[in-house]
Amino acid sequence: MKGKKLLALVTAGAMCAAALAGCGETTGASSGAAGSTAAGTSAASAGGVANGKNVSINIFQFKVEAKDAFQKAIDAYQKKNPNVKINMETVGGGDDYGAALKTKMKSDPPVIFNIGGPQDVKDWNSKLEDLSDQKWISHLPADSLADVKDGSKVLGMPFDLEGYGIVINRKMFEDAGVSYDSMLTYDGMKKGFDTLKAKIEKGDMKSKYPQLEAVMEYPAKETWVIGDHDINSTLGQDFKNATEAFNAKELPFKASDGYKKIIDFQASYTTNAKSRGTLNSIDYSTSLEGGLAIERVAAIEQGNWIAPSVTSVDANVLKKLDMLPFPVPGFSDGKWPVGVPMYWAVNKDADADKKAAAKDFLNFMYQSDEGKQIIINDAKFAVAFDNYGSLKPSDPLNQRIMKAVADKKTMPGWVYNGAPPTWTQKVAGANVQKYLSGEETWDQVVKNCKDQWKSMRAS
Amino acid sequence: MQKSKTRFWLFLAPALIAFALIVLIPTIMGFWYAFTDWNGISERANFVGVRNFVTIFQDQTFLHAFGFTALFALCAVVLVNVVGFALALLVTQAFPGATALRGIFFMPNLIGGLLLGFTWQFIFTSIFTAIGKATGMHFLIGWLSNPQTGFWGLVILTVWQLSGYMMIIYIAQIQQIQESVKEAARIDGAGAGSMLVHITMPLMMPAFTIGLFMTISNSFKMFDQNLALTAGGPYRATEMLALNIYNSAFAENHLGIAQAKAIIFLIVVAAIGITQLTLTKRKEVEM
Repeated sequence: MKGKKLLALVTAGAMCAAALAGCGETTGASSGAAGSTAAGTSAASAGGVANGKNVSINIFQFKVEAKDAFQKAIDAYQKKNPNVKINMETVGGGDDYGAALKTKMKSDPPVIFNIGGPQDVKDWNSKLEDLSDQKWISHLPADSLADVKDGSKVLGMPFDLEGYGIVINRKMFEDAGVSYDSMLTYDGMKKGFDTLKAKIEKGDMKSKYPQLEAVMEYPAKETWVIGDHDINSTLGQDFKNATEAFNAKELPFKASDGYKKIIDFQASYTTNAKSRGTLNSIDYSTSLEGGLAIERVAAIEQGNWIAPSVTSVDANVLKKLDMLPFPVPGFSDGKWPVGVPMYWAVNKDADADKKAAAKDFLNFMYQSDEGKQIIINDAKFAVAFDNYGSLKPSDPLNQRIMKAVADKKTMPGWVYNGAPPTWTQKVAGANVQKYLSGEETWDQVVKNCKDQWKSMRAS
Repeated sequence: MQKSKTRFWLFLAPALIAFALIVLIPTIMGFWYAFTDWNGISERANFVGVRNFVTIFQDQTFLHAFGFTALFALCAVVLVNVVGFALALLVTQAFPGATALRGIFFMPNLIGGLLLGFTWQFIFTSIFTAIGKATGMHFLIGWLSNPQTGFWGLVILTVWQLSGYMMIIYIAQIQQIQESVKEAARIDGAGAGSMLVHITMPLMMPAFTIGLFMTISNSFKMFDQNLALTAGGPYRATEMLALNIYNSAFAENHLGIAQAKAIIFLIVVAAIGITQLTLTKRKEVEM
């Protein structure tokens, strides 16, 4: 009996230890994922912004990288409007933000929050304030709002402008005798990449770039790379924008060969070109912080958002970078996929004065001179607004995107937002992983993609 | 008598209320949501009968996750307990550093599952690759890139994390075995092997009951480690039940279906756990 008691005691003790460990882990996780910037403050009562009564609004946003910049804008705004108190909370990541927003909406509804494409607009429709009377709309190209329109209503304000393509170490290619301008098409890029590959294999690049081991890295573990990004230009052949994709019951997939071509292209220039299944364990940071940024590889498929990460590893490398178009032969030669990945939304159910303050703040952040400075220089965003004058992003990747916009050499970058939820990553991405590992033929990938689209739309 | 009954409930009340609020009521609400088409956002949830249950048994990803989790639980339970028991036997021997080793073996258990997952991910993908390339041992390259290495990666992580914990439980029981019993056995001529099989192990059954129950339920419910190490990849092949349920709830926005899956999950895990408890309890002997 005594033995049992002691055993029980030890078990209980061990469980407490587990509970403690559990606690430690929860705090660790939440401080990691949710960088809460909220300063303790009590909710304020009624009264408009204009008449100087106190208003308190809370923001729930997902862009961890821009959290400090937004806080700077909040501080500046509060200085000008001492009666408005703004609290911001940040939870990063795609699915994680969506899950957190659902619970947040039930417990402590934010006044300002973020939404993505048409699926979010549909799901959150009853919570979205119409912003069509806002002044900033006149400074935006119409297509930047296509995915947040509901009839004449405008339900979101563009967060930023993001674009992607093949990010290359321009200096490295030039050292190998390949010019940027020669690689604007698929064939040109192939030629340039082959030249560099041959030089790496011969050891010609060794003295200048000791780390360099392959032309590309391909992080196939990240289904947002092999799913979302790589399939986007293919979907763009079927649908003009995300809304059109969203309304499609079936997927024509008429450009599926282009999808295959771009996957094979990237895989063939990696160190794992002969064991492509291994690519399924290569993640984003291996390709970026452990790849492009340390000059281990010369190119990866990514977008302008990588600039801060490259800077944190080696600011000199960022200066050498440039971005080639997304090269699917035949239909996207010379074009960059550019678009608005997320939008700001105002909660329709909030008090009128809170909504007024929220709209005023968003306008301040993106349209006042002070706000514009913060958006460009601190948040390092590229924007769709046409009234930013001489304010230009400082890094070559954002500059390339802005130039593509100015030259009208873009194609819709976020068509995949209109696919059924999780289709791009859990169906297209997962099937590509099977294709890379040799588990499936390309025809099976195409068939599964089409079948699943249809059945997900039906359910 | 009456008074003590009031007092009984009074003392029980705080725990009971907390239990009801956090476990009982949400579980009952969950049962209701399993029969609706709720997406987690809208105010309305429509009753759809047993449709969700029909759907989940046609859902290949769910069935796969079920099989994967069961296989994982089997391997993890056996290995965690064998290793935990072996460690316990080791550190109860008298040799210098035995006490320090107890602490060291227990330590992995104090690290949270997410951190462990990311740490091991680094070990499997970067360190294994580096060693493999340096020594020419090709089986070390490409870990976590296919379902097999993903599976064994999860098993290794779990054994590493939980063995020390089981070890503590087993140590407590080993120390309870009276010296007189062992001495009697030794006088009767029992060697080390038969001591272990006929004396130590039967007397340790209470600890095995607890150890098995905890490893079985932990293996089935595993989430953090799965999310951090493989996130279900490649192609959802290493997605375990808890992660599969999470994905249908929060990625696919099918809260009703996720809830139905969770109920099936609860029933199966409870059935396995209770069966194991009754079976091993029967084998417990008193001194």
